[in-house]
Amino acid sequence: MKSLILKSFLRGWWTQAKTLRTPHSQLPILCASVWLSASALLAPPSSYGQSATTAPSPKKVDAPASSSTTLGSHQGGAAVTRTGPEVLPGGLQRLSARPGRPPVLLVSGLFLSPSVFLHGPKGGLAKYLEQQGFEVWLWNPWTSGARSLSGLSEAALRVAATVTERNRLPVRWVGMETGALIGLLAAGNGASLTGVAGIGPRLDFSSCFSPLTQRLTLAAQGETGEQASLLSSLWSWGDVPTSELETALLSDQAPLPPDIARELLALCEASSQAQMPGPVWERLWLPTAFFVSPRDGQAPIELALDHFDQAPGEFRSIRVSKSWPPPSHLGLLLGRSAVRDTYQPLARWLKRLEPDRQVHLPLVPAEIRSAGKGDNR
Amino acid sequence: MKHVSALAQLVCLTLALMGCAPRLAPAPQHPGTHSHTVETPDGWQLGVLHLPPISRPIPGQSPVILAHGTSCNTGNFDVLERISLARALANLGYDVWMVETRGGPLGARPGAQNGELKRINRERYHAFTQRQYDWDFDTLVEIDVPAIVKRVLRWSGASQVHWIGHSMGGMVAWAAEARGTVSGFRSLVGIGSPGSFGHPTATARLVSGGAWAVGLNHGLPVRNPMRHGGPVLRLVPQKLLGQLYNPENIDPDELRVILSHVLEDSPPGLMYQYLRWIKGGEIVSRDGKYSYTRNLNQVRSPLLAIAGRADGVAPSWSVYPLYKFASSKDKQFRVFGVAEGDRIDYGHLDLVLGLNAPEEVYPAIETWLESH
Repeated sequence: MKSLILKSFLRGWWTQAKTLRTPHSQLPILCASVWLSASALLAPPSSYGQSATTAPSPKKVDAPASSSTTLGSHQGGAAVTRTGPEVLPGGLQRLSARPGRPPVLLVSGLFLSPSVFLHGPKGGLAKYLEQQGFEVWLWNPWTSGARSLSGLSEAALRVAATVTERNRLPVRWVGMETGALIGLLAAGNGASLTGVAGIGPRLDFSSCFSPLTQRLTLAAQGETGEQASLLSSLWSWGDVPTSELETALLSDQAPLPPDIARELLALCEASSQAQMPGPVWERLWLPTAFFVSPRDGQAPIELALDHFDQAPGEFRSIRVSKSWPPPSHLGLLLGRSAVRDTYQPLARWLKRLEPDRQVHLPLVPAEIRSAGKGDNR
Repeated sequence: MKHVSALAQLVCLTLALMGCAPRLAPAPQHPGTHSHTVETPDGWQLGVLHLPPISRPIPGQSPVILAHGTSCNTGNFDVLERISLARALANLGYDVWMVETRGGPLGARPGAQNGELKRINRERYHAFTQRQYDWDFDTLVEIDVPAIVKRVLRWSGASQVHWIGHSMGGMVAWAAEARGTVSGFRSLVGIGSPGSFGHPTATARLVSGGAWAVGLNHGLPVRNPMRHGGPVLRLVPQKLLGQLYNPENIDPDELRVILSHVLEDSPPGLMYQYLRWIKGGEIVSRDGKYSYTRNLNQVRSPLLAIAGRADGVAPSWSVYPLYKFASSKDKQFRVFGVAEGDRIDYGHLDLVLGLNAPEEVYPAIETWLESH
């Protein structure tokens, strides 16, 4: 394919060069032609991620074994075998097979499909992580067939097992918002995970505000039409380009199963007295990393930090956005500062899976936390 | 001297041409406002502005004390008519008391002669630098808050007060209850009032590091720069001031009035404590022997903790511990932001003085007071 493009490029260039006898009128055409040919030659293969505005159209396969066409390419000096996207049952999708590379599972949050990871700067987080040397998997928990929160946890266990079985390496779990909670629940239930990272993680539903309750009510009634427009106005305050928001949210909605919406709604309505069947931190001796923004209203930073303080200190890592103004919920993933705030530190953490050097001061000392449990929780 | 005068005129003219001249003036005091002073056991006079109910008083309600934040004065609640929480509450029939902590422009320092309240505005900063007098957070908690509560109760004849504080104004109240210097409040509203300084952001650490030397020796001198340099603030990039307020939620003309009439200097002792808290994460006494944060569970008054989603001074995560670890049976945590159903993400100043505050924050406080 490349040789064909090269031949076409050279032939076109030679033809244009001959017309230089009447240079002034033809020069812009020549430049445009050369530029177009060169960009066609240098463009990445079509199966590589997809462009920032086009969602991939993976081919469905029933059998778990990959049979996609193999493309040879070089990444970081080593030859890598890469296949096209592959969809497995239960909402699981492999962006491209890269045997021997550590697998990363990207899990979407409430009302979002994993295509949100294919948008944003640098072609999206999925593409960025692939470039950093990971095999990227996407999972949509809302189309996994689970009809309850406990069902989601079980589905997560199966997904983690599938990825591990296919790649023969334990999986690194990266969850957006509720996706992080599902990962921690799975880890608490014995899933073999190397680490769990949460982007704007929402780990409990003890503090819900009216817009979230409103959306959950709609979802509980099986209505989805207004969800995307609600999301686009509430999840970003202008730090994500409008076109990006529309493409990411409106093109591929992920309706929340009504039963799960009802369960979450019940937790919300019970206010602070109820707790999500959240992760039991004492059992979670695995590296965790949270990427949070003070201005994230959908996954409030105060709740994320409160949970974070309970994670084993030896393994936890947190990164509060350094940008000012801080990014919104979706801005952490799709915003202009997403590369600096999320992509780069996440890739670094996934490579070493160790706490970073950012100093952590707990919200309150451990003594008052343990003393306060009896009164308030 | 002629040259200086000409230069000053030229600067004024340039600023006026650039549209920097002030267009708004602070609102005159409401005609019903009375000025009082509270004398503390150590001889300070604290300024108090009393605004009685403008409409029919609500039967059975307690007086409402409004306490300003760090480096502010009573203008925090009544600088312009449109954004006056004091007038909003008085209009509903509440008995409102705007109080100043020591060192405010309405008070006086010890040693005032012949009953005359010797204003300390002009000499204050000089006094700070010369260490003639100093105070800190502990002083406010142990002396000022009990003196104010005791005096307002006596004047009003009530048995309890509502305390509404912005930023440090809320902190001193919960800290006083935690330490036992006041017995409690009918209800306590903290607007952007942290319960802890854990998880400082990088910016906070930077400010802490940079301000350390200045703060230790000279306090935070903001009054005169703001009084005289207010017009130039228009030229300061919004990003630099964005930690203090959300620029989209504050009127530029109103902001100039706020900055030039509400801000005051802060003493070195108080700054020392702030910097220590930011570095250590915990709110402790100046000598480090008493931790207010560890005694949050001694707070039992009904509590409304308010935070702004875009607040860079007291972010929601610093206010949350106050809500979570207070032992109050009746407590609420309310963040003002778009995701919470509000028109805009609120910053620190605009929680009280913002464009949308009278329509969104004030009603939330009024509803809280009605139900308590």
